[in-house]
Amino acid sequence: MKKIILGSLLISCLLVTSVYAHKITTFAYVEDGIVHTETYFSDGTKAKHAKVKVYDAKTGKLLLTGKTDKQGEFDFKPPLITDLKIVVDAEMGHRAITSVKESDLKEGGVEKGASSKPGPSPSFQTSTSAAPAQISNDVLRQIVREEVKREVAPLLKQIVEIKEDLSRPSLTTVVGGIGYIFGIFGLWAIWRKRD
Amino acid sequence: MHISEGILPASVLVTGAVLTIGATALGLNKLEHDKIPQTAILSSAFFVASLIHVPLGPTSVHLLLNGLVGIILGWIAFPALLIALFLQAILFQFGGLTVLGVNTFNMAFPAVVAFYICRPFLRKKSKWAVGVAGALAAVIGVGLAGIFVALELAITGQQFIPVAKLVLLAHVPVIIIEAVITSVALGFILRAKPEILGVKV
Repeated sequence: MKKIILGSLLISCLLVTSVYAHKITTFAYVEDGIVHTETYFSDGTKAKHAKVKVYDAKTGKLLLTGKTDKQGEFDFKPPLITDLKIVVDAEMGHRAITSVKESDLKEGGVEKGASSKPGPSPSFQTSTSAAPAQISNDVLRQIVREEVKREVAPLLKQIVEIKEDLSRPSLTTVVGGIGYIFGIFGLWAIWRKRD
Repeated sequence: MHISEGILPASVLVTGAVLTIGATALGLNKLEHDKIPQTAILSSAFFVASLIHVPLGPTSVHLLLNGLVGIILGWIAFPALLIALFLQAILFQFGGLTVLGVNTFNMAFPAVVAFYICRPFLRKKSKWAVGVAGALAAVIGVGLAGIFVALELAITGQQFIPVAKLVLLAHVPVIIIEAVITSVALGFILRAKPEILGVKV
């Protein structure tokens, strides 16, 4: 018995070193009024060709459907500005749900409107003119937005990566889980002995 | 093999839960005092096995080891897998609490089938028979679980045959790996402690 216990403990320790998992996670963010989604299994494998359904979270109406590409990504332009519920179904009964708030879409929408307006870079005109504060509010807003977007882009990528990391089970959880199992059976043994 | 929450209709969830509760009660009844340690070990082996993943095509599959658990434990596989799946659901968000009954049934019932079909081979005490028993346990455990998943998804409107094909094809590498693991484990137990498998020395 001791040999078996030691053997299985050894095997489980070896197995734990390649900690991988089974569920899918979806991450969605809005950029320029376009919703980007990324879906992956918890070991980081992208969920390819998974079915995506986008619902209006307020009415529950199905707005559009699509499929993820080879990178597990699916981008779409929401047909109306509302709270969105995004449901991704991969094969064999895996499902992930995420949502996008109406307010996020509104910001994205305004941004898109603004970016299409101004012509050849307005910042040059203002820098050559001697008089300061000639920049119109709209143009200023546009410049700030572009800068912020550039600065935020790597952060956004990192957030996606961190989310992927978090959805992977950690060694602590696995060892903890094994501890729980032994604890539960230990309690059962004590309880049985009392009878 | 873990079906996520929100996919199956309530009728399937309730049926799965009722069957699992019944079978778990039966299993606990058979769980004698000296079998508790090995049950705990096999339960944790199953708990960890689901983290070993085999990348394949558009999806990713993992080991199950329910055949091995079944051939050793019989009906006790139900409580063993129920606890492991419960912890997987709350710690890793595999499956979920409402689907716990269905998922346990999907994986534990094939384990019990493997017990009844494979045990007779072990009495023959030849290396061949152990290999056959291990391979059969892997095929039954994983294959039958896949068929259950496909059947349940068929109720939600997905076509049964394509889903079943996909699930089974995706699990071919898993079955092969498990056949080897199960045979080796059985061979080891038969040498070290054959009473566990109900074989007299």
